[in-house]
Amino acid sequence: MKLKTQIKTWGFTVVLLIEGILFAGGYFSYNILNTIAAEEVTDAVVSEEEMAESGENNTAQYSDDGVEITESEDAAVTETEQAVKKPTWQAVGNNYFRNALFIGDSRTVGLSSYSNLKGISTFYSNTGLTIAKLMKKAIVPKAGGGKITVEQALTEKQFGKIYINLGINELGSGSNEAFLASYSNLIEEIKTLQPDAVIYIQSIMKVTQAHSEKNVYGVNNAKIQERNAGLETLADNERVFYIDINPSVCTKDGALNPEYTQDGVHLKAKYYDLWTSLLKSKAVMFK
Amino acid sequence: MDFGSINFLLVFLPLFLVLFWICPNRERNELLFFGSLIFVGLADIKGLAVLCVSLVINYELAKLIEGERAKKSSARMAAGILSLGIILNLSILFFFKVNGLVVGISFYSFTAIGYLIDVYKKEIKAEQSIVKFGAFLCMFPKLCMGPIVQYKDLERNLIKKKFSAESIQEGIKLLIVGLAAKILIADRLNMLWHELEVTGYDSISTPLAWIGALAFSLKLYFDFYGYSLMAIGCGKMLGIDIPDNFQVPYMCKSVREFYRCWHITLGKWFSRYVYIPMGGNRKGELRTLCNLFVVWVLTSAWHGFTLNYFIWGGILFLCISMERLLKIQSHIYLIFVIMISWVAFAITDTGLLITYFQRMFNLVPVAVSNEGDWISAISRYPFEFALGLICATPIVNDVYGIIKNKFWGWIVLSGVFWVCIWRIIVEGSNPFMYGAF
Repeated sequence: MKLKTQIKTWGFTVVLLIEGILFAGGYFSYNILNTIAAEEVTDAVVSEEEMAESGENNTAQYSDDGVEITESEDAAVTETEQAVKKPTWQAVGNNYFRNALFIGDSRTVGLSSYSNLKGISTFYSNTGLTIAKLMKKAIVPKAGGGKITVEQALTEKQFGKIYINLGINELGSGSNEAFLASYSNLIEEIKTLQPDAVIYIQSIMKVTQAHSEKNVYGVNNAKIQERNAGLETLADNERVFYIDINPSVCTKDGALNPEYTQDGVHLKAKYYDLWTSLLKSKAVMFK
Repeated sequence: MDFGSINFLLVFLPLFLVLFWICPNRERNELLFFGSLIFVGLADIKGLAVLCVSLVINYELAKLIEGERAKKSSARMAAGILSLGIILNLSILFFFKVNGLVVGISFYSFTAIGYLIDVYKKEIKAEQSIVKFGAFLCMFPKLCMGPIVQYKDLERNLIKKKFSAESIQEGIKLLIVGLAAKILIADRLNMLWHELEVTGYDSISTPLAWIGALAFSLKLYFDFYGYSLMAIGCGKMLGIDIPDNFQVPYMCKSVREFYRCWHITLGKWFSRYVYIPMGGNRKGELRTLCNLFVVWVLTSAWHGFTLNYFIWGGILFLCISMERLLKIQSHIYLIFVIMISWVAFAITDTGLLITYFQRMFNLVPVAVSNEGDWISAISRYPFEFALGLICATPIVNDVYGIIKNKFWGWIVLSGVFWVCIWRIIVEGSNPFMYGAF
């Protein structure tokens, strides 16, 4: 066969294969770049931990040097601060939520669309949101059109309370430790950007028993429980507090009530107020 | 194995094509037969067992029927065996429809019944080679999602396949178009449909209920049409002519016409083996309506045994009967009726279905309202809706005809293929494609 006819005959397959090679090349290099970026993030976490450790060493050295007065003075200051602003839990009304911000995944999207806090609080929520995506992805609509990242939005506007509900999307990937480390980083960052805000870590909402047993992509209640236990430890009960939202929507066995959901994961529109009722019954006031 | 999976597209199909290419023509039926068994077995070993049982039963029964028909005296015996064959096929189908479906069973059971009847009517000869019969009944391109083919249409392909480099290229191109319809339109719009389910039908606005119905109508079409195109494409690659299953149905102007353009091979099957033997439309208007009623009850049952399928079939039967009397021809009427019928098709729980209808016609107030939910729905899937609506018209065929033999068209089509592969990988690793947390 002549070359020209050959090209005519097989041309399409050749184009398909060439594009396939380009695609594979692009795909793999993108993944490799991503892995490298992820490793850098872990490195950053480690180095921060190292810094914290060396910090502790510093204080230890201080006390060795006998400079104990400074330390006790510090302690006294914090004690008096705590005495002035002691957090207590109490029930609140809608007004409490006027300067509240909710950050979260699709479950928070549901909250923003169907709960009675709609139109009262601010919501930075996006379907499929993870901690890793949170600061990078442009999800907050700007007044003049377009979108900015949560990080940018947090520098532009200050809130009184920030409710976070994240964790289900990364449930199937990464270790518990890595999850808690990145969550903790997120809180530190928010603390810096929002110096006056009270931060609430909301527990990850459970799934139904049936959904948990299916264990799709590693989503099950045992794991949610484990991660929630970790989240609880991130609360310092001074500025950062933990709220378990599960009692509002779960059955006695600690799984999402199947009556409240169609897919076993998300609340149906009319049940979002069970969640907000719990938040309203449990807010921190400083007295 | 799913046509829309990486395993099929990048492993099974290329491997099979290479083997098929180097295989001598006389061995190709064997390759097609055993390759198809592997295709089924890899996905579902129980399905493979059922398929093999069905295959052997139908192969033997057809030979028995032919044997009895050859003797002049035993016409009754042949009819008896045929009835037995039909009952066996339907029993297997019924059993597995109720107790969890086996891959492709609705399609190959009907193909086999048609085959037995054709042998009985002496329109075809019973196939003497189980390999050839196996290749006909189980060939992987049409096994999972049809089309339902007649033996006489494929017989010549089993003897000599029109297998060439050109046919492979044409096949790949059709496969890509079908894949794109499924991955880029159907699967995406299905996510919107799923969102409505998650929200709860009692909390969607009336406009959103209609947009949801539109999304489902487009999703169902591009999913099924996509599969059919992939089947035809795979067939072409192997030199086998698999018939068309869709003819731009959403352009029709009556339900009668619609079901001549939608899932054409199933309609033909019912017409050929049920409607016409019962007398079709030749025995008066009342008898025609009775025959149509029977056909629609059976068509509903073929899709499933829950009440909603009978509501779906009932709506269509009523419309077709009305059209016979009133001679309706209207595109708006058709789209309206078909969208309502698809909602009944989609929602298997009757209580939820009623809620959905109530929201469509605003008969009950919305439980929790989210004003503008429909605007948000459109704004999240603008590309999918636009593409879906355009591709539901004949324009898409014209465009395909223009680009498929152009060099830049090749680049575009190849690109579409790799975009689809990319979507499959991303969505496969995204746990919540339909869960969308």
